[in-house]
Amino acid sequence: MSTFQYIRRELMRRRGRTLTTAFGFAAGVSLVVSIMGVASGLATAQNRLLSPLSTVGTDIIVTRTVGATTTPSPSASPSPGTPTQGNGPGERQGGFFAGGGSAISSLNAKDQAALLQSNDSVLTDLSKLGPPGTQFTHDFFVPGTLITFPSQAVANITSIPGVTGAVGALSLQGVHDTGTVPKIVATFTTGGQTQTVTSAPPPLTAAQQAQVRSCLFQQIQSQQASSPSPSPSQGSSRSSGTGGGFRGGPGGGDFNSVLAKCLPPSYLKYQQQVVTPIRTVQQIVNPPQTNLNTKSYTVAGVNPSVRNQGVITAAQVVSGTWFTASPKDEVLVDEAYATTNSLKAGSTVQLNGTTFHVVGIVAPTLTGNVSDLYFDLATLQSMATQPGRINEIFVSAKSASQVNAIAAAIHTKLPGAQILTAKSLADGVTGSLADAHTLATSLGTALAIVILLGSFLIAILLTISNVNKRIREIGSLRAMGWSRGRVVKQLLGETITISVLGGILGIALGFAICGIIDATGPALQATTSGLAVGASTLGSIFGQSSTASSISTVHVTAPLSLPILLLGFGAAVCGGIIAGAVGGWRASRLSPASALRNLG
Amino acid sequence: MKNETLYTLADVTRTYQVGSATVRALSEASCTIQRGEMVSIEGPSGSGKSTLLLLLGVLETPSSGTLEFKGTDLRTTSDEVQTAIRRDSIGYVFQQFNLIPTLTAQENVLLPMMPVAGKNSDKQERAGALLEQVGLGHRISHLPGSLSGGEQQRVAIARALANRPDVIIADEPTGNLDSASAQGIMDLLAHLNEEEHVTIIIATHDPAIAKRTTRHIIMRDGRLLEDQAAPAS
Repeated sequence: MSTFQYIRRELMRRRGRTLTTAFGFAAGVSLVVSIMGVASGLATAQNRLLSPLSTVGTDIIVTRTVGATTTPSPSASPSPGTPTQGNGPGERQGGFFAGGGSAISSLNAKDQAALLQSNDSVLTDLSKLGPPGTQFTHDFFVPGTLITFPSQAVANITSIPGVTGAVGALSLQGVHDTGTVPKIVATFTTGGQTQTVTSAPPPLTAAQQAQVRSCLFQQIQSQQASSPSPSPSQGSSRSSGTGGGFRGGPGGGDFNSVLAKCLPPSYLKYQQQVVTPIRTVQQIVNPPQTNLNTKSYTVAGVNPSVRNQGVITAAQVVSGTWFTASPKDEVLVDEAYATTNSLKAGSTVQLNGTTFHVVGIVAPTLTGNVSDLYFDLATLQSMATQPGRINEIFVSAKSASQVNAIAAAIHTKLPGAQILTAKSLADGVTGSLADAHTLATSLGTALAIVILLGSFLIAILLTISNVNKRIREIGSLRAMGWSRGRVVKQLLGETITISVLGGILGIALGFAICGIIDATGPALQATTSGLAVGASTLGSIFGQSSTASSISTVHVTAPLSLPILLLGFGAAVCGGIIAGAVGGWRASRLSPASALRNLG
Repeated sequence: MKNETLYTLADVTRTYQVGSATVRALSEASCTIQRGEMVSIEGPSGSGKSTLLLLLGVLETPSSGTLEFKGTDLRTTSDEVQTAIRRDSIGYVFQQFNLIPTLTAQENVLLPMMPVAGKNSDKQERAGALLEQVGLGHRISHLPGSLSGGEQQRVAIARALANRPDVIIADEPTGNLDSASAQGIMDLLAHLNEEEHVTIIIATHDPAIAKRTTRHIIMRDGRLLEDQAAPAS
């Protein structure tokens, strides 16, 4: 009979105790394996979802956000097609930053100016959208906090050594407005003009002349009769025929009044000068519009010819296709946005009178760069009146080790560029996923250790209790010439065999637990910080929520890998060795006589 | 060979510390035991029989005095040497049988042979032969639980014989047996002594058992009172 046979006999014929101890180990191992599995699942989820730059073929994202001071940006200059307006109540500008004062005021003056200017460039007088009072629908595109820059920057970055590719994109906040075209308040001034009216009455007829003459004669006679000193000049002026010389004689009865009495009525209306009064008219036809309905969403312009790098890649198309050769009227729609708006490949989207065909539905990774709609870059640039401008560049490096050097080179070439690497993005992740990951790695490790120690302790106690029960047996073995070492070896062998059994059982249990976790898949959420979410940040300035959410829900899985299983198994065997050694040491410490005498 | 001295005891004292009190379990015991003797050690409980047997079985060392086994002073030998003596020269039989309950009769007999080099098949054959010798040839695959007390003690004796010991030390070997089984065990031990010349040392308080031996050592209070050799036959 070998030691192994003895062990087998012991374990087989004390099945209850063997299984109890083995289950003690198994419980510890399965919990440890499960915790490690969940931790690994969370780490994988975080890596996959939260370090997504690699999945879009990108190592670095370059943006220019407010906060970066740089050379004056010509992007702010409004294009001719978009007139900027004065401050009328019909303008949208008045309400633009009303709600977002805090966000804006936290920026320095230069940045505020740049941001305002940048977003200003697309503000449109709503009254231009149709006759006042009619319903309108219009989409505005604003760059948000991601200030645009010329697409020339792509070429600059491509020339940096180590860069294998760079592609530009334009991520914008879309604002979809519906409402009534407002009536503009008119302010104008009238009056102040001088008008000259000239009239030419017909000459007097012979009868009229005779009548006037006789009338005058009578009047003058009656005046002379009543006047003691008639003016000598009156006679000479009588023949002049003009009214000028007849004004107010000191005698009272002047020639004018005499003439007025004698001339026919049509000659009483004569040349007259008119000055109109000056007055300012301000007429508010309608109060400022109150029925403006605004929905915001996010859009991105992508280079359709670059399929594997950028805001979105062809690999992320879940249904439909990537942009075709003529991408002008094509759009890719985010999965979530498509669901909310009942869009699918083949649907159409109306934007500012243009019909876009949905060619594909995409599932973007959890970056900050989730947009609802993806357009051809050139199309979006023209829609947003940002021709030739982009606000994001996706850069890929030859190797990960070069990322830092490239980032530094970009800083030099594009002062003020905001550079985002996979690491900085992952650092910005919050939410229950990040919490759970932290929990699983820190607390989970502690928990695993506690559980392991607990199961070791149970195993040790069971082994010691086993030794105590078998003291007589140990004494007999010593009496028949077994050495201490052989006794210890026997007990150790038994405990290790139990621990191996426990390890196997524990792995099986662990598989079961992880299977249950996989099947039920508790949901955790991850939220990216607003770092790269230019448009969303602007959305918060507007006080509006963007439909392109940077929150992502993942289901926890607990994948079991060989190292985890080996670790759990190894832990069990270690526990067995410790327990067996402790039990064996206790047994060997007993002298054979005291072991036997214990029987009483 | 016949007159070889196995044990030499000179003023062997064994004390135990029980709490603060020192208990003198064996006081200045002196005697010699020759090979081939069949000795009974008699006395009431607590007279020191068990202590003396533990000392003779090399399971205990004297507190003072000299205890030699085949010329080896057991007080100064290492645990390894003592283990080797127990293994090769001594077979111990207990009142409680002390069989391993999870092992069959044959496996129990094999236990003492495990530390000894040799082919497994030879050992198994010997274990079978020993069980045959103690009258249990038909029960070699039985677990102790399915054997009667007398049968279990026979297995224990077979186990004690496994490594061809010089001496079998039996502490109250019939204490748990009915008188018929007890006589059977005594027959077996007497037979082993007579036929195999195995030295037998039996502790007992049963005069009927003691009567079967050729030498009687009487103990009282840890002291050897009388040492009577039976008339040589």
